[in-house]
Amino acid sequence: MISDNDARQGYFRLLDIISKSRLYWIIPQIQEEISKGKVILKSIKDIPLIDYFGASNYESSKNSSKEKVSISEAYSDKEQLKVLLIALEEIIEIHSIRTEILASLKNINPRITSIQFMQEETNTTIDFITDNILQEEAGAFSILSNTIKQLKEQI
Amino acid sequence: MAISQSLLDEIGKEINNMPSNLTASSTIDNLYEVYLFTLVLKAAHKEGATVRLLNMNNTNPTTLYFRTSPGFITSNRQNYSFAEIAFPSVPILEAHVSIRVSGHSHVLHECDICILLKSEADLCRGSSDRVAPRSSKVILNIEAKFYTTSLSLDLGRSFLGLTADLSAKNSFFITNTMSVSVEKLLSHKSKSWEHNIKPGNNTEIDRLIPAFQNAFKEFKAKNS
Repeated sequence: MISDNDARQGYFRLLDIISKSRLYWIIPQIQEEISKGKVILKSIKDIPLIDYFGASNYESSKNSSKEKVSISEAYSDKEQLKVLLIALEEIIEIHSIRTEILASLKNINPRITSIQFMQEETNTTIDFITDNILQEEAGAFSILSNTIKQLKEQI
Repeated sequence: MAISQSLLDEIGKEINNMPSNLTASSTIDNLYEVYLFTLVLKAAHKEGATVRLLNMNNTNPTTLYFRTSPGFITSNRQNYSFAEIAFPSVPILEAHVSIRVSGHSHVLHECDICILLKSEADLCRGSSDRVAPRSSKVILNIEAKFYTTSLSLDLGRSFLGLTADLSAKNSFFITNTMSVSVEKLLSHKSKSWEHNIKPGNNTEIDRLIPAFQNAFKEFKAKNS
């Protein structure tokens, strides 16, 4: 199992790399997930639990008739790194969707060789899918997927 | 160096060397919409339809073009693609991705995937102004949600609002992920939904496609 220090360093290093790569746009989603932390609903009668989390993390319900309170706990360094790795796995999942789309549409019309996503106003191609592109991605994503899986087992 | 550090280094290197041309997050939502579009076409084919892929100005395309943001069915600024769905002896349907549809209130809503009567689509195209099809002519409407984080409850509430203003015969809320609260809300309100829809999740896909087929079956029965 990796140390908290390794996890923290790894998280920030990967975050830096992602932010400078073509995947920069997943950063806000990762940060949103991490900022949510863990919200736990517990009975107000669980006094030992409130003492455990500490007064600074305690938020009481404004409705005094409710017996439940929410307690926010931040993700640990290892959990933050895991969130980042899960986000990367989602990117790999997107590749499988692109592959499935082209295959399905070619099944309907074998003449189809490519798919383009185009912005209407700017006439800009945002994404372009062909068999060659998908094959090139498949190789890279396969390696990335295996490496991520190995690291998740170590966290 | 510890194994874990070398794995981190490896991941970093692979990210830097990625050949992917996914350059913007907007394409993820668009991709998911087109993926669900292909599932609808599969259902139509299984139900006995002849399905044709068309571009606005080409009846036998080799490249298909899809939107990156919702637009008007009448737009000819790009050669956007759609599908024609023809069942025997009933009106022809068209399947579109990310078009605007007019609700009861005449407010325009975005339909991620929309199956509507071809006659309504042609009526819009024949108009001199930008006209959106009426939701009463929509057979099937899908709200697509692809999230890398968990779904928030407001997405379910938004879907309820959308279906309240649309006359579409069948509206589906479909996502690649799950949300207990959204699923509970939509179930309680008797709305159609499906979760974990992504390639490889055959249990859920095998449940969804027959649901689409059922919508087509009802359309055929009502219009024969």
